Amino acid sequence: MYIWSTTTTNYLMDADQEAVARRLLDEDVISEKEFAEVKAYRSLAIFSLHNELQFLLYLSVLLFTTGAGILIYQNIDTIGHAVILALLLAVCGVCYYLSFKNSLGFSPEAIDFEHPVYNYLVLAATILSCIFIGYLQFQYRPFGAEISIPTFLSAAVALATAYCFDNRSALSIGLTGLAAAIGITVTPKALLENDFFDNPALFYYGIALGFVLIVWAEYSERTNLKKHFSLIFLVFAQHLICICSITGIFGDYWWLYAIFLAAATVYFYQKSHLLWSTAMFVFVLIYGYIGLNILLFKVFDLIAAYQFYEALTLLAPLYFIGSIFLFIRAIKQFNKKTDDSVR
Amino acid sequence: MTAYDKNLLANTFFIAGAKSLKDGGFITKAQLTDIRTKTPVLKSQGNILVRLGFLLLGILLYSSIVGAISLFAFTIFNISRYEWAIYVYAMVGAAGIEFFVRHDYFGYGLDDAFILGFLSMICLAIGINTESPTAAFAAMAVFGLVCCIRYVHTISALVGLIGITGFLCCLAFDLEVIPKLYVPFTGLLLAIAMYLFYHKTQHKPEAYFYKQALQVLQVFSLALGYASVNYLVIRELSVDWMGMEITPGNDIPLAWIFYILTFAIPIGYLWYALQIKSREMLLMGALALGCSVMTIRYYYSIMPPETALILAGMILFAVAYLLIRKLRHKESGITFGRDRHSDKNALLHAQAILVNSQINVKPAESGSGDMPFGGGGFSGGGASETY
Repeated sequence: MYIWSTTTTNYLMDADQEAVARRLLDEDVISEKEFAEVKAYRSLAIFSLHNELQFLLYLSVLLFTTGAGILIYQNIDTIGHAVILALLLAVCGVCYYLSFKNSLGFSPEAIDFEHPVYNYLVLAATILSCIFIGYLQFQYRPFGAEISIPTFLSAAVALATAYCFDNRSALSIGLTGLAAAIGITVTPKALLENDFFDNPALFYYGIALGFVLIVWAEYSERTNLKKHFSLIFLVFAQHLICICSITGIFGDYWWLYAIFLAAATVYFYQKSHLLWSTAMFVFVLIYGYIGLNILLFKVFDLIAAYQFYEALTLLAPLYFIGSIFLFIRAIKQFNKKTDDSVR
Repeated sequence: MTAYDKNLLANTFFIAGAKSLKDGGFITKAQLTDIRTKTPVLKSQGNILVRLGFLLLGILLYSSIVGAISLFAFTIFNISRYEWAIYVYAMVGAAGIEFFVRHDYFGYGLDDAFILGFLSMICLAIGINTESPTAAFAAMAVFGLVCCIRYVHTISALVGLIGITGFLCCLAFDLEVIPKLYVPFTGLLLAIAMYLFYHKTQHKPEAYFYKQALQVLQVFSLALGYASVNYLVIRELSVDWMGMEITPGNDIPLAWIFYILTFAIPIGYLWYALQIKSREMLLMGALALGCSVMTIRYYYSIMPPETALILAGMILFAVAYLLIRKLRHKESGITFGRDRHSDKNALLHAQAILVNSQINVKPAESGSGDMPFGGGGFSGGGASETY
C-alpha cells in the first residue's frame, strides 16, 4: 500500500521480459514451469487500455461538472433558480439512484462495483451535490450569512459518499471541503501559488485539523473501518501540519511551530516505516530538512554569523555532502525495514 | 561507448526486469531477493520521488561548489570577465559526473544534477561567449547527445533533441538559410526522419541500454510532427515571424492542407498506435486530438464554453462506456482487462489528488467568490478569452 509504486522505472519492453525470465531460468532462480507461464502470458500480447479508459471516464465527469458549474454561474439571473436547482437535483438523484442500485452495499473492507463506470457516476454525483449545496446557499441562504456551514455540509455529503461507495476521489473532495470549512484552501494549485494563508490563526486550525485526521486514521486502522483510506487521511494530515508549521516558523512564535514540526516528523517517520509508504517517507525527509535549514538560518542570524560569510560559503559544499550521506543512510535503513520498497 | 561497466549496466537492467516480473506476480519476493543478492549492480534509484529529492540535493551541492570556487577565483585571480568563468562551472559539472560514474552511480539523482548542470552551463557559456543562439542550440544538440550516449542518460536525449530542433529553427529565422515558408514542412520532415531512426534502431541489440532514450525520441518526433503542421502554430508563427496580416475572409497560404493535417495526424496516431500497440503513441494521439479541438475553438467559437464542456463530457463518457463494454471480456490483445504489471492503487490515488486541482472548493472565510462551489477552476476546454 504505497502510492508511487508504479513510478518505479520500467526499463523493459515486452520482448525483453522473456529474456529476463530466460536468464532467471539459466541462473536456476525459477523453474521451467514458471518460465513457461511468463512465455504464455507474453504470447497473449495483452495491450491493456484499463487505465486509459478509466481516465477518459474521469475526464468526462470533470468536463461535464465543470461545464455545469459554469453554466449555472453564467445564467444565475436568466434561468429560474428553482429550475436550475430542480435540474441539478434530478441529475444528482439519477446518479445516486444508479449507483445505489448497482452497489454491493456498505462494507468496511475495500469494495468495487462490478462495472467500473459506476465509480465515475458516484464522482459526478458528489461534485454535483456540492454544486447544488453551494448554489442553494448562494441563492436562498438557508444557513444565513454563515457560509462555513454549507461548506461543511458538502464535505459531509462527500465523505458519506466516499464511505458508502468506497470512492477515494470523493474522500479527497470531502477532506478538501473540511479544510475549506475552517478557511484553508488545500488544492495543489493554491499550494504552488503560495496563497495558502493570510491569517496566522489558520495555522493553528490547520494543525488541529491535521491532528484530527491522524486520530481518525489511527481509529480506522484499529477498527478495520476502510483501512485502505487511512493513507489518504495521513497524506492530507502530513502536508497540512508540515506546511502550516513551516510557514509558522517564519513568524513570531517560531519555537512553537518548530516543536509541532519536530513532533510531526517523528510521527510520520515511524508511520512511513509501518505503512511502507515511500511517498510519506520522502516528504518526512523533505519537510524535516527544510525546517532544519530554516532553524539553522535563525541561529546564524542570532549569532550574527553573516560576518563570516566567506567561511560559510566554503563550508556549504561540505554541509551538503554531509546531508547527502545522511539521506543515503536513512534510505538504506528504510529499505531494510520495508523489504526494499524504495529500490 | 558508455562510461559504465557494461556487465554492471546489463545487470541493473536485468534486476529492474526481475522486479517488474515480481510486480506482475510471476516470481516471488524470495526469488527476487535471491537474484538480487547474487547479482552485482550499479547504484541506481528506481523510485522517482527519491530520485527527485537527490536531484535537488545534487543541485544544491553543485551550486555550493560553484559558489565556493567563485569566491576564491574571483578574488585571487582578479577575474573581471565572468563570461569565461562559466566554462569553469561547466568543467565542475563534468568532473562531478565522472566522479559519480566512477563510483557506480547510475540514475541516482545526484548524477542527474551534475549532468543537467553541466549541460546548462556549457550551453550558457557557448551562447554568451559567441552571442549566437544558433551556436547555443548546436551545443545543446551535440553535448546532449554525447551525454545521452556516454552516461546512458535519458533526459539528456531530450536536451539534444530540443537542440536539434532549435538549431533548425535558427537556420530559418535567424540565419535565413531555409526559407521561412518551408519551416512547417522542414519540421515535419525532421520529425519523420527522427521517427524512422527510432523505428530502425529500437530492436537493435546495441540499443538495449537506450530503450528509454529511444522512447523519448519517439514521443518527441510525434509531438514535433504534429506541432509543425498544427494550424494554430502555423498561423501564429506567420503573423509573428513573417509579418503576415490575416484579415477576415483571408487565410494563411495552403490553409486547407493545415486544417486537414491538424485532424488527420492525431487520428492517424491513434489508429497506428493501436496497430503497433504503442502506449506512448496512443497518449500523444489523444493529446494531439485535444489540441486540435482547441485549435479550431480558438478561431471558430461554435458554441459557448460551458455547452462545449458539457457536450464534450457526455461524448467522452459515451465513447469510454462503449469501448469498455466492447473490450471488457477480451482475454488477449487489446483489452480492458488489467495488465498484470499495472498497479490499481496508483491510478485511484492519482485521481484523488487530481480532483482537488480541478474542483474549486474555496475557503469559507475568503469571501472572494460569491459561489463557493463553482467549477471554474478547470482550465481546459478552451474558454476563448483565457486560452
